[in-house]
Amino acid sequence: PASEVWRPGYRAKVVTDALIVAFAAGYTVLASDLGLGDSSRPGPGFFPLLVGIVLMLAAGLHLVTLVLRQLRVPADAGAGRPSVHAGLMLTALAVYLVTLPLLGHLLAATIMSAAVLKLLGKRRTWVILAIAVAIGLLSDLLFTVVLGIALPEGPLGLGWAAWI
Amino acid sequence: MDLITNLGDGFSALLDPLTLLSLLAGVFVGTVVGVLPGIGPVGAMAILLPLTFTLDPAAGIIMTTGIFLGSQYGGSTTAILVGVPGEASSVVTTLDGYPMAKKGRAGAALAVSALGSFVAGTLEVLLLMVLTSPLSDFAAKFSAPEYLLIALFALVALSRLTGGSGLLTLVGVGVGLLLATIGLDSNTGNARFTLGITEFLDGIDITPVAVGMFGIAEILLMAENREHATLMPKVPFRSLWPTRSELRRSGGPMVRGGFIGFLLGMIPGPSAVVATYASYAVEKRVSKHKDEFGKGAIEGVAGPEAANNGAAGGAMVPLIVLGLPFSGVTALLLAGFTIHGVTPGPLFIEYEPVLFWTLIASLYAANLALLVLNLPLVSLFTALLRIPRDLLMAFVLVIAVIGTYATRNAIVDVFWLLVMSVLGYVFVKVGISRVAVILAFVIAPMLESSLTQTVSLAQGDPFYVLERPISLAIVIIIVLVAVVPGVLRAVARRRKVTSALDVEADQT
Repeated sequence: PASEVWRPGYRAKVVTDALIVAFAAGYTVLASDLGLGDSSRPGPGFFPLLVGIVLMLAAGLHLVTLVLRQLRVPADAGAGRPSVHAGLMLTALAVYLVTLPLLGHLLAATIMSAAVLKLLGKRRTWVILAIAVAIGLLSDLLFTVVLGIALPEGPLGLGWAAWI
Repeated sequence: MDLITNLGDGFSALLDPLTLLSLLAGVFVGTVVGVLPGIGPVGAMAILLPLTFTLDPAAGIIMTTGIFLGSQYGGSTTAILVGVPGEASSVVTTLDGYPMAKKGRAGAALAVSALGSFVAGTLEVLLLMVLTSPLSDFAAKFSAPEYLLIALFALVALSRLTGGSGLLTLVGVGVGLLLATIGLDSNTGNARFTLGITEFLDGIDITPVAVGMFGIAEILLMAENREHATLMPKVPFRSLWPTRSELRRSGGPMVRGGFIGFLLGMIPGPSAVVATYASYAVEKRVSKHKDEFGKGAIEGVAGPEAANNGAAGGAMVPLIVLGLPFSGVTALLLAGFTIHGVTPGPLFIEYEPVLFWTLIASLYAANLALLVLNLPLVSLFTALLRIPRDLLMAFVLVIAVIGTYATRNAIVDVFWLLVMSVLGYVFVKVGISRVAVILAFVIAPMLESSLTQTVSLAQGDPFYVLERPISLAIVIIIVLVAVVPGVLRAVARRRKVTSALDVEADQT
């Protein structure tokens, strides 16, 4: 069924390992370009080089063991697909990231809260909006007034720090 | 008798109403702020420290101490209630604390956490009183090779802690170390892997890594299971208090955790994180209920929580005796002391004996206040579980995001939070240990600086490390930790095969 929880199978794990190996390889190349120094004074690339090698080896060995195991036993096809809901929640988070400097915290938090409530619950739209506005106001009150943390107010100057 | 007399003088200084109020306020506010995901002890200390500026030195230091301990406890509260660690040293608490909460034992977990912190706090005060001077002498002998080996020990022990695939644990370690190298290299000042983006120069803060990997990733997993209501059932609230069996099982871990935390707390760097992992590994090893670990074992909460508080006490040793902060939290504690005209160091006890013993007394009093305040307020914290899931998760998400932003007031931290959330979700799915990622990330700076210094000191000698007695001892411990469990398993498997063959032979 389309809504089945995603359980990655053999192919997804192989792709993940391969991506990690490729990423680690690129990282290692960049590390070597930073300068390795010498035995008396290791350079900025020394430690990252070791990290990149360890990561490549670990992911590469795991990839090899996966392939070898698949030769002995039938490959696990996994189940389901990556969650659309999880993707939409990440999108809501990304929207907050983009709108925070543009609209200020209060509006950005309200939008994100409304999106998340819509995804996680089954409430009427007006209830969702009311709760989202409340979360925006409460969070702004907590951080800007109680904790004294400056949060962006946006071009409309919305926020408790501006009102009080 | 001198010790007792001096401690009595310290407690006498606490009897001033303003001083007592400062202590209680510090503990309570520290706990409340520490509960907020994304803030953690460092954030809570930074935010709340200005509140202490208007107080006199004794009250100011005492309030700072209260905030310090309260925020440590607060980070554990969210780890238990909603599976979102307030800070790195609460990550281990989620492993068993959150499963306990899902079984309706949130109150018991929080109570054991408070009791464990109190037991460890009592132990740490006694140890501080007696051992401060000789212990700081020993810790001062550690240098780069020892720090390097301690970091390696932590990673090796971790591979035993998480179970699962050792290779995937190593991948997690590699990812954590990789993430920590982004930004300015503290040794050379070179920009590394910043892709020319100015905002990346400050590197990645621990907050988006911890909150993203563990907090937001859990929310994503919950969103995925939205149509499967059984995954997050409404937990009936059975009892606020631990059962007799839970208390009995917690006693040993609390004491062991307190000692482990105190000893490891004196080591520079993320000692509280290492202490919680070490305590968890020890409890898992000695427990008669090994199969419960990861599913709600009370020992998995009691030990690490005691270790967390014990490490806070251990971290006070180099701070008080040497005047050196070995962690972000103690650096802020030192800032608080300095602002109030107090300079910890070798002459602190000699020149400011009343203040020193007042500080010791305030540590004990703060731990007592944590127990007195937080146990009755357990119902307040656990009432959070009755809030509808979608509301709680939406609010936690907003608080986590803002808390992450508030750490450095940098929008780039929200970007990293997004990245870590994706990584955390994927890592859970493919079986890469997130615990490995965060431990490696936290100890990476110490590991790198120790490694480069050791290489410099060795001057090409491959046996340099083994020529140092303390390093040699740590190497032996690492080898034992790495090899012995595998050997024991192989022996056990061989015995099982042998006995199965014997049974088969008898039957034929």
